Amino acid sequence: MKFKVHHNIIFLIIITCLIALMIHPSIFQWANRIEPWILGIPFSAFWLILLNFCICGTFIVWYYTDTVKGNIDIDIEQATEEELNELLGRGGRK
Amino acid sequence: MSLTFIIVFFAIIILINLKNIGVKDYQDFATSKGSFGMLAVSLAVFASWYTGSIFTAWSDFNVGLGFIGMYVMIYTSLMLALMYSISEKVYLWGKKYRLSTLGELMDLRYRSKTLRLLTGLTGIVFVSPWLILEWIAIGVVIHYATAGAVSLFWGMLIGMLVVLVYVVTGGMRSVITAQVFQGSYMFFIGVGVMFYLIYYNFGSLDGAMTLLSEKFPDALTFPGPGWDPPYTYWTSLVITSGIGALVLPYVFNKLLVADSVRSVKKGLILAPIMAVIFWAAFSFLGMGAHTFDFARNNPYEAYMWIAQLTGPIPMALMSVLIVAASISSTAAIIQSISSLITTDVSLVINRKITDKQSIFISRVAVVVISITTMYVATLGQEQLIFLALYTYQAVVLLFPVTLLGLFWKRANKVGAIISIVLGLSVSLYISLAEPAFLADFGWQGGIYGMLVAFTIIIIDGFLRPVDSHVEKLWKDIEMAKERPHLRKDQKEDVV
Repeated sequence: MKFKVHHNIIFLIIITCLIALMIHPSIFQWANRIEPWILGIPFSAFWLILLNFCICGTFIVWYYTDTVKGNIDIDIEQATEEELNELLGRGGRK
Repeated sequence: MSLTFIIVFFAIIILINLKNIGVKDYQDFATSKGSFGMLAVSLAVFASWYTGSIFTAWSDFNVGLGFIGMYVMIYTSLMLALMYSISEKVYLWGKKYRLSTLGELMDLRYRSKTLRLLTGLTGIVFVSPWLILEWIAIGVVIHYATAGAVSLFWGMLIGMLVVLVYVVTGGMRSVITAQVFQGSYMFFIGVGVMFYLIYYNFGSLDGAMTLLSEKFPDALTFPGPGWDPPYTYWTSLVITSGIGALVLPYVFNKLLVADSVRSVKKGLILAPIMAVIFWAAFSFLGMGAHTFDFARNNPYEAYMWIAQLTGPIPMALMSVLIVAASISSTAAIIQSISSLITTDVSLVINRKITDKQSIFISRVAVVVISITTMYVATLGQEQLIFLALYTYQAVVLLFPVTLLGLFWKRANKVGAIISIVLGLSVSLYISLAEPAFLADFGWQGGIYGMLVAFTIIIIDGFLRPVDSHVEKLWKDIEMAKERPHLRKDQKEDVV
């Protein structure tokens, strides 16, 4: 049996890993230092900014993948009064 | 000069909202009926997110402690990632069932008015402290901009009147229209001003950081001078804030204002880029300000003080930046609380309320909330930042119910209600009682509460069959995806 992982899960895992690199106690303990200075800022700040930009890049690829997979131009029809009554216990509030 | 800039800024906000006076129906007041595109969504998320109080109360972190303030950058990314992943379902159900709040979505998903009421009340109670912080920020900046000529109270009152005018008359449509302007100012001018202040006062970013490393090296790393929490505190701070932020009513409702799934998703990929750049500029300026004795000892005033030191134009631009950040968040928070009061409280208590009455209730709520929170704001801002951080320990309990409700068919209303009640109790008890293990382990109360909440929903989910209406909701999404779709421009071509 072939197991297919939804691309949303893959991107969420990538972003979770990137966030883990910034907040996991052991990794953060390593990154939480002044040396080496990179681009005029301490390593601790550089580490956070770099990984946050990586997250921004992941968002762009995620959006592009959504476009390719047809998950962007989705639309839905509005529910009828009966459906609103059935699911929310209300018709249109007139 | 600062006061003139602020008055012009207020005038522009009112002017651009003149066309939005009057709302068609309650849905229009609460969500603008999904009428905004990508740029509006991203700027609205950005402008709602960065509040004016980051320049006052939050300076305790950025100016007072230094590097630790950068945690906001991470939890913003976490919040936006979660927001992106739920955006499709929330938008589609929101559009189909004309939803206006998270509580209403929970009612739809779990078929429980109790849960809707609980979600709404949690939102109202735990978001209000943010409003108090914002009134103070507006008051402080106007007071400072006029060199004390306008008192804190009158500063708050002026800000409140401006917000009331456009929120009461135009609802969500006015809030978003103003946020497009406010967000643009905050990003394009605000970031420019903050980098200019760094270059003017320290020569360069390198200069600011080098000076800080020579005088106060502790401020360049976690946790900052004079404090020693464990590393897990950092982890916990990001997780509870990022997850809690997703379910903040004024953040969540941005998913319902877009005109399409494309606009929501595109808006959410632009927002983090703006958020990272803005927060980097804000943090570096705050860290640089730490080197000044006055700023370090008076962090609430630090950003305005350093702008004033630089000259009248930077001071005027900084004043408008803080006012823009404050007004945009204030309007968003007030509008969202008024929607919660109408949709999740009034309409649950009395289902016969008409559309016209709903608009009336919302408008009255806007005025009452504004006056009440402003009164509390006049009592002072001591420790309010920590009160605001506590709110995350509570709202975070709405996350398990939301996440599992959206993606797990077995989640049911009994588990959801028990999880919120018990999770909230655990979280608040631990946060307020502060048992010894809290400081030892560093994890905040919200984390323990969330663990309890997830466990309850999952166990209860396996004990009961899947609710019959859930299949229909899942089918809605499947059918929407199966329909042939055209982009907006393609639709126009066909027409």
